[in-house]
Amino acid sequence: MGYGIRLLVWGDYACFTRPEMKVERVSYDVMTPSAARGILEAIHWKPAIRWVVDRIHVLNEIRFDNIRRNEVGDKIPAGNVKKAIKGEIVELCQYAADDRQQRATLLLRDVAYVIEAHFELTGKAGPGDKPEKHYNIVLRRARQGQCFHQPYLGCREFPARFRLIEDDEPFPHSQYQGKEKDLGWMLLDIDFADQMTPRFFRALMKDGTIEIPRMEEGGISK
Amino acid sequence: MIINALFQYYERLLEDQDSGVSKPGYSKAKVSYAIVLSQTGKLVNLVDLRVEKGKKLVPRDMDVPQQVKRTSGVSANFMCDNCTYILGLKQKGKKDKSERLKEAFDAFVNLHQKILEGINDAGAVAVLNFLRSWDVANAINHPKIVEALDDLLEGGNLVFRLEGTEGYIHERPAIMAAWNAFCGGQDSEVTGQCLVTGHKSPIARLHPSIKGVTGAQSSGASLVSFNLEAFTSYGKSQSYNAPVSEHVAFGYTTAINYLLNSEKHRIRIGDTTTVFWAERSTNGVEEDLLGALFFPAEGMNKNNEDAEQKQIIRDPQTVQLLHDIFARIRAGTPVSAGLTGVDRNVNFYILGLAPNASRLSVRFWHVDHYGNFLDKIGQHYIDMAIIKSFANDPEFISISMILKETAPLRDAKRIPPLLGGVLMRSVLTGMPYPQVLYNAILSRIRADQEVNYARAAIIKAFLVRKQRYYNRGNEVKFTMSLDPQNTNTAYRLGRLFALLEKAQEDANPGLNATIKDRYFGAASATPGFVFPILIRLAQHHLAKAEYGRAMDKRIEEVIGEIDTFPSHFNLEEQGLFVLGYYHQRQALFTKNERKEG
Repeated sequence: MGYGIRLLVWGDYACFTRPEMKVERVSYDVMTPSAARGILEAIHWKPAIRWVVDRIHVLNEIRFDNIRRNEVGDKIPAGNVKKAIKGEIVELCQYAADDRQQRATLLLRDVAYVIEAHFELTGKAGPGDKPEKHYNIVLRRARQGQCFHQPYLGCREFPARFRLIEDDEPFPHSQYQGKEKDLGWMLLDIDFADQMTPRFFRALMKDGTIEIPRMEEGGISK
Repeated sequence: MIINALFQYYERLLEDQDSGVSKPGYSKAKVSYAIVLSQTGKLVNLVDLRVEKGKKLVPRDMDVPQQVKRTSGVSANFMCDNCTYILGLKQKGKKDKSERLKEAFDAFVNLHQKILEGINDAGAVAVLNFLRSWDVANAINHPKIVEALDDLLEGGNLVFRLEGTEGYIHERPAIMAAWNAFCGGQDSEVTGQCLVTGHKSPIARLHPSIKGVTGAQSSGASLVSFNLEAFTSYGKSQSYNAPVSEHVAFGYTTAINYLLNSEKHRIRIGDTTTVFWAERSTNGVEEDLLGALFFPAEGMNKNNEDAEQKQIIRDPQTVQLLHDIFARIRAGTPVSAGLTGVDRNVNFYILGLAPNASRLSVRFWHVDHYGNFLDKIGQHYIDMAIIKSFANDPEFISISMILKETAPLRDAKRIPPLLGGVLMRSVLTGMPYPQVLYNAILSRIRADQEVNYARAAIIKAFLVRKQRYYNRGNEVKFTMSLDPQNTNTAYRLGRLFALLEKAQEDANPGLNATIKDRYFGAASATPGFVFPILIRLAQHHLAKAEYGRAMDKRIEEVIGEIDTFPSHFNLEEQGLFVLGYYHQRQALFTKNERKEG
C-alpha cells in the first residue's frame, strides 16, 4: 500500500462513454475508474509509479442531458504516419469538412466526485524513486492546481476542476447518503498487458461510494 | 443500463408464453404440416397444421431451430424445412432437376446425421431412421403423401412429430440440447468478458439490427455498431470494441424489436420513437396507461395528423384509469395514491431512440418507480392547466401538441431535433422545462402574433415550474385565469394590450389588421416605445365605440398600478405579458358571452 490521496473533482459536463454506446455516445451514470486514473495521471505520473483507484464518491445527483456535435468519421491511417516518418511524401491531414459525422451524446451535467486513490511503485522505479518523494510531489502539485495537461471528465471537451482534500478536512456531503444503487457492470480499465482487453466490474453505489476492485481481482463474476 | 434492462426484459418475455419471442438459436417459421413418424422411423401420417384465416388455410407460425438465409445454393435447415429438403419432392412452379432434388435431400440428411448422430433419444433415432430409409424416387407414390400431395407441393414447411407423444420432435429436450451444442460450436471465435453479464463468453461481432424506429432505414438500424474507422479504438474491429456476448446481443435486440412492434409499448414524440416497459406488468395496463397519458384521448379527436395514434384501441380498464387520473389532476389530489389496477412500485423504463445515419442514438433513458412517473406526469398537467380559449380545446395538452407549437406552421418536421428529448426529460424528472422550449414559443408568438391555448399553457407551465425550482418558498402564484390582483407590470401591460385591442375592435368591427398584428411583438419586447402610441390611438377608438366609456374605465383600472412603461422586457417578462394578454382576452370573451346569454 502506497500513500493515499483524496481528490475532489467537478465540472459542468462529463461523458464517461459506455463502450457499447460509444458511437452515439451514452455516458455511464458515474465516473469510471479509468477516467479517475486519467485525472490523477494528468496531475502527476512517472513511469516509476502506477495509480490505483480505491474508491469513487459520487456527490451530486446524476443528471443527463443531450447534445449533438459535428465530428469526423475517419482516422489518419497509422500506415501513412509510418510512411511519413520514413520520409515518403504522403498527405497527413484530415479535411473535417469532407468527413462530417454528426453524433449525438447523452452526457452528464454538473458532476462532482471524490477520488480516493494511492500509487504503487512499478518495476521501472530507480534507486531515487521513493514513495515519499512521489507522494509529496503529488500533494504539492494537487494543492497548487498544477497539471501536465488539463484533466478531463471522460472526454477532452469536458475539463475537470480539482482540489486536494486534506486529511483533516471534513468529507463533502453526497446526495446519495443512505441510498443504495446497482449501476450494473462498468468498465474497470483496459488491461494493456493482455492485448488491451477491457475488464469490467460490478459497480454498487452505497451511500454514494463505489468500491473499486483491483485490476487483478476485478472483473469476471463468479 | 439500457442493454441490461432490455436483456432482462427479454428473459421475462421468454417465460411468457403469449409474447411469442424466440429463444436464442430459434426463429419463427411458417409451418404447414407435421410428419408423424413411428418409433422405427416409418412415415405413419401427415397432420395438417394450417389455421383458418378468413376463407383460406394459412401456415401457422412456430418456433423452430433458427433457419438459414437461403439464396440460390443448397443449404438445409434443422428439423423444419420444405418438401424438397425433407422428402425430395419437386415444388409446384419450380424447375428443379432431379439431381438438385437429390442434392437438397442429401444436404438435409447430412445435417441431421451430423447433429443427431449418437444422441440417445427416441425422436432422434426415429428421424435418422426415417431419413436413411426414405426412398426419394418413390416418394411421390407413398399413400400418405398422395393424400396431401397438392398442399405439400405448395412449399410450406414441415416438422416432425413422434407417434404417440405430445409436441414436436424439435421441441424434445434432447434434440434442443443437440441443436444448442451445434449452434454453440459455431460461435464467434473471440471470447471475452461480456459487459452485460460479466461472464466470460463468446462475443458477438455484429449485432442484429433494430427495426421500427421512425425515420431510420427500413432494413433496420443498430444501437451498437462501429460502422466507421473513427469509432473504433485499441485496435479492435467491429463490435469487439464493446464486448457483448452473443446471446445477450440476440436477446436485447429481440426485446427491443418486440417493444417497437407493439403499439402498447411505443409512442412517437417529435422525431423520437419512445418505448417503455415495466419490470413486471399487470397485463400491460401500466404501459397502456402511460401511452394514453402522453396522448390524452381528448386531444386526439381533432388532430387528424395523429391518425396513427387514433387507431390504438385502448382497453376499457385503461380508459377508466385514465379518467380516474385526470379527475385527480383536476381536483389537485395526488395522482397515483390509491390507484387500483396498476402496480405503483414496479420499476418502469422509458427509452427514447432517434435515428442518426444508419445508427440509433439514445435521446433519453429513464428508470423510476411507476408511481413516481404518474406523479410527475400529473404535475406536468397541473402546471400546464390554463383557461381554455375555445370550448373544444383539449383539457390536457399532449406532448406532441406542445412540440408542434414550436415549429413554423406547426410542421412536425420542423420541430427542433433535440427538443422532444429535453422536454420529455423535464416532464419525467419534474425539473424546469427547457429554456429552448420557452424561447421557441415566444419567438413563434412574435412571428405569427398568435397567442392560443397551447402556447399560453406552455408559457404558464414554464414560468410556474421555474419559480418552483429557483424561488422555492418565494413563489409568485400563477392562476388558471385572469388574476386582477397581480400587479406585475408585464402582466398588467399584457392585460392593457388586450383591452386596447378590444377597444379598437369595438370601434372598427371587422378590421383586417388590428394593433395586435402591427404591435404585439414590439409591445411585448419594448413597451416603452409602443404603449404611448397605442394609448393615444385608443382615445380615438374609445370615442368612436358604442360602449367606449365602459372600456375607458376598465383601462383606467388596469393602468392604475403601472408607474412607468419600461423601455424593454426580458424573456421572462415577455412571457408574463403574453400570459396577461391571454388571460384578459379570455376574460373579455367569457363576459361577453354571459351578457349575450
